[in-house]
Amino acid sequence: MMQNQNCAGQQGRSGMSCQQPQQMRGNTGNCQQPQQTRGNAGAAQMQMRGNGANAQMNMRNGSYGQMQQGNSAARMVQETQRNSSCNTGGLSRQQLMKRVMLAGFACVDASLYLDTHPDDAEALSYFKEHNRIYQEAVEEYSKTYGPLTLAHAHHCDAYWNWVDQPWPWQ
Amino acid sequence: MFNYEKRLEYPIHIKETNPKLAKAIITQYGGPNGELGASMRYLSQRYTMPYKECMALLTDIGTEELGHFEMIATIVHQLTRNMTMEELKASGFEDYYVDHTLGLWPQAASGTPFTAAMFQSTGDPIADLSEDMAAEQKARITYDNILRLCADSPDVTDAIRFLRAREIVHFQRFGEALRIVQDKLNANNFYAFNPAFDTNGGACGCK
Repeated sequence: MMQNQNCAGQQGRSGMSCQQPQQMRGNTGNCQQPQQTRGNAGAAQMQMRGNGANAQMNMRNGSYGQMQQGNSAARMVQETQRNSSCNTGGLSRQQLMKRVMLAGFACVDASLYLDTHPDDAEALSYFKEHNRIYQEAVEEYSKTYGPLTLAHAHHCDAYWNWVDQPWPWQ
Repeated sequence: MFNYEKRLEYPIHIKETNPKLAKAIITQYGGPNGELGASMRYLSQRYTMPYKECMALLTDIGTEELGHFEMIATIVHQLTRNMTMEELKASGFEDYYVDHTLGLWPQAASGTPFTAAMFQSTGDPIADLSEDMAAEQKARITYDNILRLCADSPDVTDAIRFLRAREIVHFQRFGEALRIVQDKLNANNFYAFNPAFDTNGGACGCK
């Protein structure tokens, strides 16, 4: 069964700019806890490559956390991890949407890796952590700015806000 | 963005093997009134739909249709998964089997492959919603026809009845959407301009 997720935030043209890690860093000024463990960051880089042979080789050698650094998607996820220690309160719509998109992408990407490596403990904890960030961000966004999914439409009290917020293609 | 939920919209547990019935029902997988065409129709039309209620409806029905696409596949799969070669040959399943074995492939019962020519996306809200209402009726009669074929298969009948009922609900909702669109247009001439194209309220020459 398929579900639509209304990523309606006004991310606009500057949205999830995979190519611009600098810009993302700009939003993290309030974070108190700058660095997560290296292990998790490496884990992120791992599947962000997504380019087949290289990744598989590394997996075979059991080095979930030893992929090369420097690709933009990996930096993107590191960014999410730094964000994860921030309180979600007080974030703008764009900031909250960015967090949903970053953590959401980390989960999607990790899930593909886990589909073919279902017993990888490091990947499991990576998914768990990012999924927690994702769930919290979706909940917070939906409460503040309108439902992102029908499952989060329970915040609509007097009016069905699902129809009211901007659609992602607008 | 789309996410998958690991469940059917309505439960399907078919114990019997019936390749002949599967060959008919697959038409709702990739046939002219099928669920794939329905989903693609609504999910394609929603971008130019200028009114928020109708945008939401096209999104949500288009999404539900993907769930129905999965239900039809489940019915066809369960009806054929335990088939013997003898049953296969006796039922005339060879022409499907020879290309697809027991794999699911979107085609009409006639064997015609799924094609986007089975639906329209005109960029005109009245034309699109009128097509959507007709499509729901065409899917409803396809399910009526299937119900006559599967009267002896209660497990299949149960699921098909659910799908048929959804067509009727969708028809009703699209009718309401069409009314919403018309309420926003000139009551003396709904066709004076296309609200999805003539954004300045200008004429298309049909006044």
